[in-house]
Amino acid sequence: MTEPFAAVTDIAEAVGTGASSALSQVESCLARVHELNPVLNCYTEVLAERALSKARQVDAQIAAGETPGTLAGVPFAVKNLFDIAGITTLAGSKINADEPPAIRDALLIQRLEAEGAILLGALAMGEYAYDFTGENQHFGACRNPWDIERMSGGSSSGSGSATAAGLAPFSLGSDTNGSIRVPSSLCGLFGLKPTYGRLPRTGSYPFCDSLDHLGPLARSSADLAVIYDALQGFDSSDHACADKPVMPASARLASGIDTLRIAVADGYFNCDAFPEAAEAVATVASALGAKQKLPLEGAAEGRAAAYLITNSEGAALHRPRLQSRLTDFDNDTRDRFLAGCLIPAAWTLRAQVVRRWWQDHMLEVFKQVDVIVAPCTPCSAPLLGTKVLNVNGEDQPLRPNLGLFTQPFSAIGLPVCSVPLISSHTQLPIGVQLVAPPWREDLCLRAAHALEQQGVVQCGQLTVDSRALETPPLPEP
Amino acid sequence: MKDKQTNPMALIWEKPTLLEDLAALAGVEIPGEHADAVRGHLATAARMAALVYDAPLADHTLDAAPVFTPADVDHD
Repeated sequence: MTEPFAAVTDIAEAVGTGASSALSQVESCLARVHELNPVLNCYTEVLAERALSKARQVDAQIAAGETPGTLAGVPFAVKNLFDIAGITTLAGSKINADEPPAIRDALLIQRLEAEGAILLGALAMGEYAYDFTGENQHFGACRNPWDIERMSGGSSSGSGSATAAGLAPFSLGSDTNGSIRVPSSLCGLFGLKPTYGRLPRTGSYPFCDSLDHLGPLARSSADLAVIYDALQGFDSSDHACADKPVMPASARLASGIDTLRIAVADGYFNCDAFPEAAEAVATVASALGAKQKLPLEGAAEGRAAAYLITNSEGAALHRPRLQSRLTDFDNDTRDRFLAGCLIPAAWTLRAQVVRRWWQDHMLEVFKQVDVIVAPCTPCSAPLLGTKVLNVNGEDQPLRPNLGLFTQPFSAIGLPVCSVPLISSHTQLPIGVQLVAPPWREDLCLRAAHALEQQGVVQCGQLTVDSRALETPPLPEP
Repeated sequence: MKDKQTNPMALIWEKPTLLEDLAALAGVEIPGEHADAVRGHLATAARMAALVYDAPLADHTLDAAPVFTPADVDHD
């Protein structure tokens, strides 16, 4: 069994029982990467030797009667802001290419490999994660496998594109303001942004410390849950990581939604002006029986707070590079970081206060509900090179506004699962966010699983044949 | 934050040298060809700042909250 869209759980079972081998899984994935990556541009480094060696090791362990891990023989790949021993952590930048190779793997890679998963390589991303489009001036745009002339979304662009195209059964990404959820939405995947502080970021390149999250992108809720369970656990090396007991989500996945109180985000999240998003939210709300609409007052202010904090913290992080390597930045990220250097400190401190206020409000809301349904992106994947998004009748820059609906929730660290639908307007994927209270990833995963069981949400099985594709030129940056 | 007194970024378009001065204060250089793009981003930031200043905070929420931690609450 080496189908490109096989479930993580099926691969692990087949490898664990000897029906398949880790080596055949890796070889199959590498062949597909070799065929399609030149078109999709989603991998920045393929670690064939390492993956093949690890696969032989996993097969030998199983042959020796050792208990296979929950991810035995499952290939995966990571956004190139995760440290991988022996290669340089690019974080999507040309500047970081001059840094020495990482000494050890990021902790989350170590945890996955301890369960038998096999790292295939590093994936494309927007420069320094300040991106929602998947375009990158240095490395070229990462293409969407649903339509290679469209954006994959970002900043975990390679994670979205590779997982959707079957170039890895799952991937890891990061999400500061929506960077797991946006590519999940545009590429038609399930994405989990856990609670802020749930997963340690040890060995990953930061963007905005007080907003950075790591998490998985996968092709089903069951896959997300088993991967998430393997990732959990406290690590004192990340100051933000909470010393919380592991809360396995897989075991609770099939608990159903009968006891869950589910409502729909309204007010700021009303997306009637975006027909693709509105249709997706209505479909999910109907399937979940969610009738109550929540105004969620404070969301716009919460989003504004996240914008300012991101701009300030990100600029502070990169100020030394702005001083020494100014011309080596991607134009779009450089200009935003430069602006961030000039923001008055009082604005950022006010934003922190508003962030707490918005959090307090949402905690009150979660006394009444368990899961909130909200739009993920305002639209399906835009064409590469698109610069403008019409928001309520006003043309605004596309780049920050693809995260219009994701940013308020990550601003206060809430766990969110993005689930994929196909828009009847575009015939392209679009996601819906399922938002849960802090530390209750299991609730949004349960709702995602229930939707999947009903057939309301699912990943498509894409036919991407590189031989039939003539890669169109990228638009001018 | 409705006027220039509380929105200093409104001045950034009116006083061409202000951007350079602010950049010098912050220790960065803004190439001339990128000045308008940076001004545009600052204008967006100013709109966001207006929103956070207009948030109807209750008195008890006015304490500084510079460090964010997720709520440590149980949800049953």
